[in-house]
Amino acid sequence: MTSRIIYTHDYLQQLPQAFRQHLLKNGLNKEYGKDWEDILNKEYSETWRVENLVLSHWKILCRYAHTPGEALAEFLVGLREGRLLGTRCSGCGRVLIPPRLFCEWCLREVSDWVEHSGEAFVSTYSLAYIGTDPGVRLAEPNIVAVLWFKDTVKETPSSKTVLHAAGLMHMIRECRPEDVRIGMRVKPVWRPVEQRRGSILDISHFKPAGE
Amino acid sequence: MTYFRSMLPMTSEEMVFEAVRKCLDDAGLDAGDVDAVVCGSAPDAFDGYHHKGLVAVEPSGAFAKPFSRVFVGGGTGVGVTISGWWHIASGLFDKVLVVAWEKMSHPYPHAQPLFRSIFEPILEQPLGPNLIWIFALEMRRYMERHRLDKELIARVAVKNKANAMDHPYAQLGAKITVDDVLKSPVLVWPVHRLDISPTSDGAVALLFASEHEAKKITDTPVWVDGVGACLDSQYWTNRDLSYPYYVYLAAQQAYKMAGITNPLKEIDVFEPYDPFTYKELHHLDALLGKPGLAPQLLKEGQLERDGDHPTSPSGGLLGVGNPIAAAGLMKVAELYWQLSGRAGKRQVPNAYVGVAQAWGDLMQVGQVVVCRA
Amino acid sequence: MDIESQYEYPAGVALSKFLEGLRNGKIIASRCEKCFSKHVPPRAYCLDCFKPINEYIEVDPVAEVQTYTRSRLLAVGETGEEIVWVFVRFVDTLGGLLHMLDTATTPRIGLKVKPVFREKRVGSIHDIKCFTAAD
Ligand SMILES: [Zn+2]
Ligand SMILES: [Zn+2]
Repeated sequence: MTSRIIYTHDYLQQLPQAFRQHLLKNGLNKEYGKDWEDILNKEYSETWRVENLVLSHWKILCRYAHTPGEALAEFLVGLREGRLLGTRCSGCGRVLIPPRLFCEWCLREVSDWVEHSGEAFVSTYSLAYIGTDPGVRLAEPNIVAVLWFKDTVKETPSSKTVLHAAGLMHMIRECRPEDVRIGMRVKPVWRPVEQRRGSILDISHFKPAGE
Repeated sequence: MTYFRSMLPMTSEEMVFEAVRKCLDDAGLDAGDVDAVVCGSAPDAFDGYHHKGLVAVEPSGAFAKPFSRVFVGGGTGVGVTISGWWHIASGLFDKVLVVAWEKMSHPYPHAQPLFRSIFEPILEQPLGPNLIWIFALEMRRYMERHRLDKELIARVAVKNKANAMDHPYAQLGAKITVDDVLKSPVLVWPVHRLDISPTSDGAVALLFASEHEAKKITDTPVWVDGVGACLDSQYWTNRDLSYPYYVYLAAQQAYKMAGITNPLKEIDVFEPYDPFTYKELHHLDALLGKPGLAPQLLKEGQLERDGDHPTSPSGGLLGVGNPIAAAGLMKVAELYWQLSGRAGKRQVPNAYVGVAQAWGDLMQVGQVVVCRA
Repeated sequence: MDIESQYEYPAGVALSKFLEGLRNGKIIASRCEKCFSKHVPPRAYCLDCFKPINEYIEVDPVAEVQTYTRSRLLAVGETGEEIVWVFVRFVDTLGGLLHMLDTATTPRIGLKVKPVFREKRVGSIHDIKCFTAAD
């Protein structure tokens, strides 16, 4: 059988305040362990037999503040102004979006900034029927795509198999899921100036550019 | 190896012990005979305690010996193999134990929120991604390039789950049909539920020995003939996802060492990494160095266990299970069983040369090992 | 960005026996069939013989303080009452436990101590209220 360590109210009452708080804060009174119920009835080990499996529950909360770094900070400031910025490597001539201050092909510093119109085409796309939490089903799928910016596609000097393109992952809207095509031309839809925060979401989405 | 299951009632430490003890028993050795240990496991967040690599020290008999943990994302299972080979090839050690394990049943209710943290925090996280997005995007691009349909790709799941029925430790061996795959729920189109390998618990251990020691241990050693490793750029939105060029480069390194010039002709068993159906074909393309060839071979039935180019005869991650690092090492273990003639019901006839490969992170890791009987 | 992760841990082969023991007010050790070494908390295999262990026995609840420290810092990040934390090893066994010493006892390395069990028990390390002097 399996049994769970459940810190019931009357159990917690007998603990010193500090431990009581510590256990409660880590959410230990939750319903958990249900999936484990009949685990011991299945084949699980050639070494041991477990008669009574004890389960416990724990929680870890990690909070992060990410700094964008120099290149992305510049990029985000650009987004707030409705401009799509990239860098250009003077070695191989590639336009780098997301921008970086070095080129990983030439392994050299990159300092030239360029502005791009934002016109792009679909490199690939998918239709997400589940949310960020995969347990949530969406009635209408989100169109998730990798967009490659116009006139930035380049082959490596040594290979015809490896391409580079300035590109971003973003959402496509104002388009029916069944109408999306690889190669389809799209353009960014910017949020109103007063709503921009210096975030990738300052571009609300991409939409078909039409012919 | 241990059973691969969605949940195992042992701790990570106990799972590692079970795999290691079986490996040593099989080799007729004891922990004291091992000179060094290389271990591999996914990030600590999956287990929920820090520096979890250390739980493998005692159950692998690594106490008071050189011990290291290797991590190259999903490629770790083959990455540890390569590192194990380096240990021996350097001449510093005669017997090295390689062990990989994963306990994916710890995260509650699911490991998905942890996988999600693979996305870049400034430009990608704000879009609210989940892990399956990157697979769906890669799969769609791959399908477009070679004009592949879902029906064909679904046959990988049918084949691998059927192969896994003959694997004594498999989690998801089953007789299913292409229709079952296509009718399973769409998660992120084109990915359906049955295109995806399960989350699993499990551990695998292998013993690496120098040439003179190996001959003392067994009459049927399997030799590591070539290794290759390659990483592509982290900027995945700047790359063409239709061909894993980094896997091709890793394979070329391994083939050069092994003296292989025509992999399709010279390799008898393929174990490419198959966390998703299309990934087996995608990777096999790169192992063969011919974009689009793998789907063609699949269509002709040549990837079946009794076909000309048996691929994932183990049952792969789709059938045996996907305890991340352990899954890659399971593929190398399958090469050992196949090439030493010990694969039982899964045995591929005339198996002398095999290749195993694992892949990971943001579609950028290629790890390849070539073995010979 | 926040990452909240929750975990369900199976205590596994050996610790499940131990926690079940605590719930019953007992200290359970593992014993190697080959070298007879005993471990508290129990282990599923013997480190020396490198063989699986399947034998579990109840041991006398008498332990010896190996080392100790005093702390006012709590996990929640606040300071509170001073607690004496002791690392104790049960007599005639290997391994050891981290726990609290009752406030009336003066800690000393080598001091013989015994566990004080709580009245209500659920199979948690908290089922031991603290350790106290053995006599
Ligand atoms: Zn450059
Ligand atoms: Zn022993």
